[in-house]
Amino acid sequence: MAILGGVFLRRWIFFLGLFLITVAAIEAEDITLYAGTTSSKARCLGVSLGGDVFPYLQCQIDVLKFTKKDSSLFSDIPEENRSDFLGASLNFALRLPIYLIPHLDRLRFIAPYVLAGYGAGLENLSTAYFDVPNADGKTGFITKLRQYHSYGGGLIVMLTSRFGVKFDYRSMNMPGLVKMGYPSRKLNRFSFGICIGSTD
Amino acid sequence: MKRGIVFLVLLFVLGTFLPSFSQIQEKQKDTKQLLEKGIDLYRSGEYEEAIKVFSEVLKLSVDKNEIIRTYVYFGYTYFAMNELDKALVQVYEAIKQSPEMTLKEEEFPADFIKFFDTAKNQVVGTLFIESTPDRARVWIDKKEFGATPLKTQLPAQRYHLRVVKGGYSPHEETIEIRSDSIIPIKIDLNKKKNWKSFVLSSLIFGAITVLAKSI
Repeated sequence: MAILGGVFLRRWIFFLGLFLITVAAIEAEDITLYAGTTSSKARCLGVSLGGDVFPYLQCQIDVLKFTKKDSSLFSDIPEENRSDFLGASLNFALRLPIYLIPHLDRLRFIAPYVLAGYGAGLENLSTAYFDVPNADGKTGFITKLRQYHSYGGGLIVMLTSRFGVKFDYRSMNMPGLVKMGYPSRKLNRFSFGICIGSTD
Repeated sequence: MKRGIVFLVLLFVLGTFLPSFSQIQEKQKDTKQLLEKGIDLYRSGEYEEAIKVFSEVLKLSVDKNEIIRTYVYFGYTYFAMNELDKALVQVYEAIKQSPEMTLKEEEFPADFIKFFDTAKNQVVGTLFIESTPDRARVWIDKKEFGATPLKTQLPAQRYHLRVVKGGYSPHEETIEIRSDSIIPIKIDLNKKKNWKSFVLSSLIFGAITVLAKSI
């Protein structure tokens, strides 16, 4: 498993550790179901589960799936088709407490936030795609995993004490998958979702 | 040689304490048997003898559940003898030890259960604590009771309440539980959040972002 070495492994260990600590620490308080679109005109659906690890700091586990494929990466050959995407990420959202600003205390129901995270996904879920060997001759879904960093922000507007809407924008930056010869990729995603939780 | 000495010392220590341990075990077995004897005496109508046995159990027993059970049967015996004042004293003692206890219908008759529940209402009140956000830990008189939202029964008296959640300043106050009443308490911990919490959260967020990018 030569692929599991160096930077790749360190990142995974770091985020796995963070994930385990987070799962132990958080009690899921926010659930968001969202639908969105990307800069490449693919459509997606996703779910995000989050919990406060500290006041104003929330950890989220986000799972995303394309529902309408990315036409720029579509191919009739199953092994070369990379128009789909299924990804999961661990994100940290820092809520900006605008209600602490004098005269804005009535705006507690609005919570803007900035977000950063790390995840991984697959661009094709077929076994034919997984069986394509990389430069080292290795196959399997691990060789096709596209890591990405997410950066972005959004706004939550609570309509009731437990129910609200969420507008989210994030940029998912994937470095190139050198051993498969895939170039780097950037997905800018805008989504709108229904949020069950609270701003506090 | 040294090992031998150490071994002998250990053996000596064990030999000294083991009998004590077995004595404790024996004592616990004795009080358990004594309690069962008391219950049998009650069931056969020998109330005076049963009272003597229950008094003996209370002097000797160190097991909390056993003590509570003894108080209940003690009260039950007085109840059967129609000495309700004395029955009430024993029942109060049981309730103080375990304010949330209830009697099983299969073990006690309905009239005694009613008597017990009435006594309980005279002694305990209900405390209902909610907090925003919830899942804050609740401490009453330095004893942890669980997390909010929390409902618990306590003997009527004053208590020191402390509600704690990570990242928020703790909330403390003195509360008074009144018998046969529900005391609702709502705590807004968010009032304790401030710019300091936000700055700290921002620093943590920044650190995680930089660390993740550098790996």
